Parts: sequence; structure tokens; C-alpha cells
Amino acid sequence: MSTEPPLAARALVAAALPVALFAAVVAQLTIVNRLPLPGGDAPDLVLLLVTAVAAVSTPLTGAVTGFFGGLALDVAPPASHYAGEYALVFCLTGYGTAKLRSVLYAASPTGERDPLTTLTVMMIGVAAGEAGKAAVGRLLSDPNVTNAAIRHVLPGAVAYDLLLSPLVLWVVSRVAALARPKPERATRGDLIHFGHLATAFRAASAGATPGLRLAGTGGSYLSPAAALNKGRGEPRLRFAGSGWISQAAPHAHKELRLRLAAGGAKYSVANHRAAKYGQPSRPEPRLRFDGGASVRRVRSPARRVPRIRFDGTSELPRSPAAARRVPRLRFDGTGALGNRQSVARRVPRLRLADGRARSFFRTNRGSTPDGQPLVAGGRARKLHFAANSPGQAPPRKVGTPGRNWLRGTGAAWAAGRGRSAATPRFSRRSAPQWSAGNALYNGHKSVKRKPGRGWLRPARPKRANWYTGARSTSWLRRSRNPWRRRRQRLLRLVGGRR
Amino acid sequence: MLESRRTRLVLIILLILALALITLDFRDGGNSDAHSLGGRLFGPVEHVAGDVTGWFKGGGNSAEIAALQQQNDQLRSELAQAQSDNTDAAQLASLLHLSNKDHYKVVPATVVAAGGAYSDTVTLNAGSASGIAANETVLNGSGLVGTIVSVTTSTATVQLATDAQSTVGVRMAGTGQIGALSGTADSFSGSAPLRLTLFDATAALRPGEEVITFGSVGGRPYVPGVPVGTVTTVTTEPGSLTPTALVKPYADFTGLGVVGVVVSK
Repeated sequence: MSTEPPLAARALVAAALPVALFAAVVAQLTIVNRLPLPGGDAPDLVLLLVTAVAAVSTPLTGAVTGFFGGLALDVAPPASHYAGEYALVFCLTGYGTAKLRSVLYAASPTGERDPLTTLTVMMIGVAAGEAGKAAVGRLLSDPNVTNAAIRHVLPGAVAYDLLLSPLVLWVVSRVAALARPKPERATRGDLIHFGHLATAFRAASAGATPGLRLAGTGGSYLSPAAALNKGRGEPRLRFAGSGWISQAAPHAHKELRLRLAAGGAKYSVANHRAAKYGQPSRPEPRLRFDGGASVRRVRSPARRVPRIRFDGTSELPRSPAAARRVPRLRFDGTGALGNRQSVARRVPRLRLADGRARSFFRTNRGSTPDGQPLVAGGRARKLHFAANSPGQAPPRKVGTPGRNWLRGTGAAWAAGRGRSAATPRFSRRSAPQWSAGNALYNGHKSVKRKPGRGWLRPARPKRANWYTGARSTSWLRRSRNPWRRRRQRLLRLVGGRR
Repeated sequence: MLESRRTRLVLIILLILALALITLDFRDGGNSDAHSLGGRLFGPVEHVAGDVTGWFKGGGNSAEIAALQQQNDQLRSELAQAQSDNTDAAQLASLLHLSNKDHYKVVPATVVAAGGAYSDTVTLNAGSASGIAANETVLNGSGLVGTIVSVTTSTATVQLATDAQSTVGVRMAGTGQIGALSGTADSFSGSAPLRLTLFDATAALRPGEEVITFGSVGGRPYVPGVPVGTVTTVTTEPGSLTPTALVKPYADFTGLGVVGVVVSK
């Protein structure tokens, strides 16, 4: 992501170039050439300016700048050489300098713009330009450009030029920076975590597509890989029981993780479905907790620090360090919501009546294998499922998760465990968790699920890439998720991994 | 790819343009319209810039100093001519056509710009508006400076005597031997030696002899009798046809300030 500089700044910089060239030519002729410098040589301000501009811009700009700078030196009054000599040399110098720079940057693995590399390229260009001036004079048999003269002039002139080139490059790059889009940099947290990989990480995140918009959602799409990287070190908020996080597809929490700090509004599958299929109860994505306090919508610009208050208990801290100090979020006194994973691990899991921790798939059933209702936090609460509140069940064919949710597993499990016919049984294609969410939002008495490891999420998400911690995308290839095609198309568009 | 193709196209066009300019200027002997156009464009700017730098250089009363220096230059040039008269009045009177020396007038001017490392040319802040034309002698209080090669309305370009392209007809002040003095493109080394070649193979050259200008027809490009320098080293090769020597010019070409241009009345 990059921010475009204002048009006025770019126009100003573009207009400054010819003015600077003109000023450099006049200063060169009236001041620099008359300075009684030791050695009798003088630096070439125009050549310095041309190479500096070329070193921070494109070959086209470098060639054009060099041509006109050289032409001005050719025709300005005291010139005694043939018109066009310096135009030829400086044009080639400007083009070659910018080309060399772009080639070097393209060859570097990270594309990092190293000032030292730029300076080196500029110095090479300056030396080549001085040599080119002598060569063209020699070629056209200028009586003033003799071998003795070259031997005397060239080293001194190159030395003066090299001496001045850092200064000129600094000035030129400062001015040019006004017109260049500012690249977004990774957040501090990222760099702390990836300190040793900072360079590679920045290069990688530069290719992400945070600004891409999805048609129909109105939200901005954050690719999972970038989201994962970006979210690292930042507090996360995971919901349970609100219906936001669809259990339908085990993968869904990847996209559906709510980011409250610096994340901006992200799309969620549940939201989108609600909008598309007319889920009646959630017109707006709002964070709503049991206290009933309506909090800010998660639609904050990326740079702002959104502060979200829940029942006046606390704020979401921004940095991990702060996270340690600020008390955790509490909902209704039932449990603590961790800001960090280590905290989350300590949160008591949802316990079933028999006291055993249940897995994701089991809780999905809404009841224990024995037919007992779920017990949250030691207190039994009945879940509202689609079967229990038929009016809120979504249409069977739309809005339901793909057929792979619980495919096979549930049946196998039911068969293996000898599930009785008296147990409330739901269709494979129903969406109980949605209804649970609806029930919550409709003010129905519903279960408050507590977050924890192994309940909503698989105990250990599959890692496709050990180094970046990227989740496995094997589900993508198997699923017939309606988002799959769009996601694939997007990733193909931005060249991400598929 | 598209960008790169466009860049290459522009580069090729610019290179062809530069080569065409060189060719045209080469054909015109370095005096093509490009130079006059550039003079018209940059001349006034250099004029102003020279005034500004001169003001900084000379402090507050630079105008007074300049006026005095100009007067001094004129007096010195007249003195030089008078001295050369005294050395051999009768011979010089017939030889140098000094009878029409009153037809000359010195227009003062200041150097405002200098050429690059490879060229020995400077720009004066007076041009055709002051009566200066091409091929006129430029001198200062010390001696010969050079000749005007091109003028614009407000500026004039001087080819210094040290330029490799300049050749000055000279005469030995004592013996009256005539010869040619050419630049060696070594002016960057400060006191640039000029190379003197006498036409008479039997003439004797001694270090310390004074060299003055021989003069051209109509005083262009050089008026007669302007002191140029002294012989420092005789470099006559054994068996060579002509005696040669290195001449140290009186004028300091690296620190040129106020000069005078000898214009016809």
C-alpha cells in the first residue's frame, strides 16, 4: 500500500527540475569555473545534477535531463566546443546511471532501496560522464582536448565530482522524495517479532493487497497470509457464541478473526452471508456483548488505534507490552478473554456436564453424546439450535456451509459412539451455530460460550509453512465454499499463493 | 516493457538529435545558430549573475574600483604602446602603423563566466551594445588576454591566448624578429606557457626577451604593440628549422577580472 503525494507536490518537483538545471548551468559557468580551486580543476555541477536525478528516478528522466543539461552547457556563451557534445555524453550518462540503478534493484532479492547503492551508482555515473566528456572531445579532435590535458584534468575533475556527489544526491533525493509515493512500512510489533527477518518481511508485506476491495462486501480484503503476519503481536479478540465465527467450515476463523487493533474492518463470511441471504437479525456488524453496550463498529482506518470499550471495563491495548498491564476483557463475569494466546490458553474451556473438555465437533452437536445439554462454565445452559427455533433457521439450500462440514466425521462419530435415536439430531446441512447467534442477537436466552483453545478452533491449526506460520490452505482445494472462486481469482490477480 | 520501450525510443531520438547538432556545428566550424541561440538565452542571465558575484567579490564600492581599474587598463595599454615606441621609434613607426593608434578605443568589461576544464574561453559582460564586435583584441593591465570570437547583445566570448586554437602574430621587442605564438592547452596549470616559433631560422632567442604583438591588418584580431610575455625557456631542437621557446604571459589567465576590449572608433 502506498500513499500518493499531493498533485501540487509532484508538479512542484517536476517544475523544479528544469529550474535546477538552468541554475546549475549558470552557477557552473559564472562561479564554479572561475573558482581558483587547487589543481586548476573544477567539479561539474550539471553532470552531478544529472547523475543524481538519474540515480533517484527512471532511465527516461535521466536521459532527458542529461540531454537538456548537456545541451545547455553546449550553447551557453563561453562554450567553445561543438554544440551537442555534452548533450550526447550526459544523455547517455543519465540513461546509463538510471538503468544501472534499476538493474541493481531488480537483482537484489528484497528490492530494498539502499542509499549507499544509489550513491555508488551515481559515483560511477559521474566518473563515466567525465570520461565521456574527454572521449567525445578527443573523438572530434578538439585541439584543447589533448592527451596531456586529459591526464591533467580528468583525475582532478573526477575527484571533485566524487567529493560533491553525496551532497548533491542528498539534496536531490530529499526533493524527489516529495513526489514519490511513500511506501507503507510494517508496524513496530512485526519488526520486533521478525527482527531478524525485517528486510524480507517488509518486502513480502509490500506485495500484499490490503487495499483491494471485494465486490459486494464493502469491506477491504486482507489476504490471510498478510493478515496472519500483520496480526502477530497485536491483541486479538475471538468471539464465541455470537454467531460471528462460523463453525460451519473449520477454516472460517482464519478470515473471521476480528481485529480490533490496527486491523481495520475486514470482511467476514458470516456478515456477507447475512447480507446476501437476508439474515434478519444482523444488519450491521456490531460488537455486542452481554452487557448490552453497543461498541464501535470495527471499521476503523488502519492507522488509527481503535479503542473499544466493553462495559467500561477496559480498553483493548495496542502493544503486547501494554497487554500485559491492562486487565483482560471480561464478559459478564463468566470468563476472561485473552488478549494474547498465552492468556487465551489459561481461559477455562467450555466444559461439558461430565466435566470433560469437548472438541469442536462434539460441541457442534449441541449436546453431549449422552444427550445431555451443554454446560458452560459449570452452569448448564441450553443451546438454541435451528431445530429448536425453526423460524430462524436459514433456508436449507442457501447460506449453509459447504457439504464438507463435518462430512463423514460426524456420521462416523455417531456410528462409532452408538448415538441413540432419542438424541436431538440435526441435519448435516443445517447451521446450528447460526441460529445460536441469531438467538443471541434476538435477545433469546442463549448460551454464552467461552473462548478457548480446542473449542472453536482445532487444537492445533495445521501449518503449511513452518517459517511464516501460514495456515494450511488444503481446505481451499477441497471445499466448495462460495468464496473459493473469488479468493482464487483475487490471489491470481495479486500473484499470491494459491 | 512498454515503459522500457518508450524510454529506449526517447533515448534514441535524443542521441540522434545530439549527433545532428554536433554535425551541424562541425560543418559551421563551431559557429552554428545553436551557439547564438544559447548566447541569447544564457547571456543576460550570466550578465546578471556576473554582476551579483562581482558585487559580492568587490564589496560595496565595486563600481568605483571597476572604474579605476578600467582607467588603469587604458593608461597601461597606452603606456605599453608608448614604451614600445621608445625602444625603436623609427622602425616601429613604419612597421606597426602607429600613426593610427589614436583610432583605437578601449571598452572596459568584466569577466562573468568561464568555460569548462578543456576550453580557455571566458565571457565578458559587454557585448555588441557596447560596440564590441568579433575579432577584436582583449587586454588587461598586464598584457594581452585574447581576442573576441563571438558576441551577443550583452555578452562577448573571448578566446584566451592560451587556448590551443589561438595563434598570435608576435614580434620580439628587442630584435624585431617576427613569429607566431600559440596556446598549449595547458592553461589549467596556472602560469601557462605559450609556445613561440620564430620564422627566421637564424634568429637567436634568449630567455628574458619581451614578446609583443605584431599586429594584424586593421587591428583585427590583434592590435600591434601589446605586451604578451617574456621568454622563459628556449626549446630549440638541434637541427630544427625554426627556433622555438616557451613564453610566460604577463596576464594571469586564472584570475581575470576587468579587461579592456580595443574597438575601432
